[in-house]
Amino acid sequence: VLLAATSHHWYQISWVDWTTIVGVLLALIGLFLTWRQAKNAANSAEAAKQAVSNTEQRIRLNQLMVLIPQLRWIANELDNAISTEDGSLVRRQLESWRWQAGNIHGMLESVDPNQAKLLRDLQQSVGLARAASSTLMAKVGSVNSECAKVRASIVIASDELNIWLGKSSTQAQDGRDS
Amino acid sequence: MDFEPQDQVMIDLASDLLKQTEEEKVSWSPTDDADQYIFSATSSSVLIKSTVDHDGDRHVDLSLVNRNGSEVASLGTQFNREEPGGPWTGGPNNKLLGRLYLAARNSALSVSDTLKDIYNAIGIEKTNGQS
Repeated sequence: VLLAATSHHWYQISWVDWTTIVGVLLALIGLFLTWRQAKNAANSAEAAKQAVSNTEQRIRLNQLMVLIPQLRWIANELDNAISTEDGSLVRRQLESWRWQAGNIHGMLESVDPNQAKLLRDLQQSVGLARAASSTLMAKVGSVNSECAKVRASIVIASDELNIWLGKSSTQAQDGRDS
Repeated sequence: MDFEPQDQVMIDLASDLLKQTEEEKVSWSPTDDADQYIFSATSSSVLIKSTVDHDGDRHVDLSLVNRNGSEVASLGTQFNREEPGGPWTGGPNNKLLGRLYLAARNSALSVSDTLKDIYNAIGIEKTNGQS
């Protein structure tokens, strides 16, 4: 009889119990909202990080768009110096090539590290420029004959850089348009 | 400043380059100096040069250069005298550098292939220098 008198159905609970249940529900909703907010913040931070990275890449690409034509200009000046057999001017242009190519190499490695062949060809031109400079110091033969290989290497690297620049600038433009 | 570690690094590099060149895993290229050869990676190059001094002794210099073409380390053949006025004797790395220079030259100028081709043309088959 006592048992029957004290037993209740689940919905026959006091207002205190209801308060507890509502409290738990509110706590769960609060937890969910906090989690969603934290997730959004993390996504925003990731998006901001990605945006900064993209901007850095674009800045480097813009710098390369300025520097690569300068490299082309050095190659042309080198040609002129070779054709006039001006050994000291050739050496100066080879020095300029080495330093400018070194700068471009660093940026290119950062913007597009997958360009192993292009990086290797650029490095080869730098190494050959060093070798040709030393040979010119010794003044063994004609300027033209002492610069044939470095000249060919510079043409290859320069052409590859221009092709890469064309592709990359088009892709960057597509990225901005889309 | 202690220069010993750099020497050891270059000796190790020379040994490894020799091994890889002989196994045709590394390809050298000629430079505008007929006695100098180059091998380039993506951010560095190695140059090996041979010169003959006024006494007729052959010197070989191995240089490691960075992406600007600046030399960051080098190793060269050495000739020492044990006593003043005594005879010159070759340093411990001379043989290694000499072998590397010949291997680099062989790779850059395709010497083995050229010899093989000419022997084929005259009807003699050569394998590893033996007929």
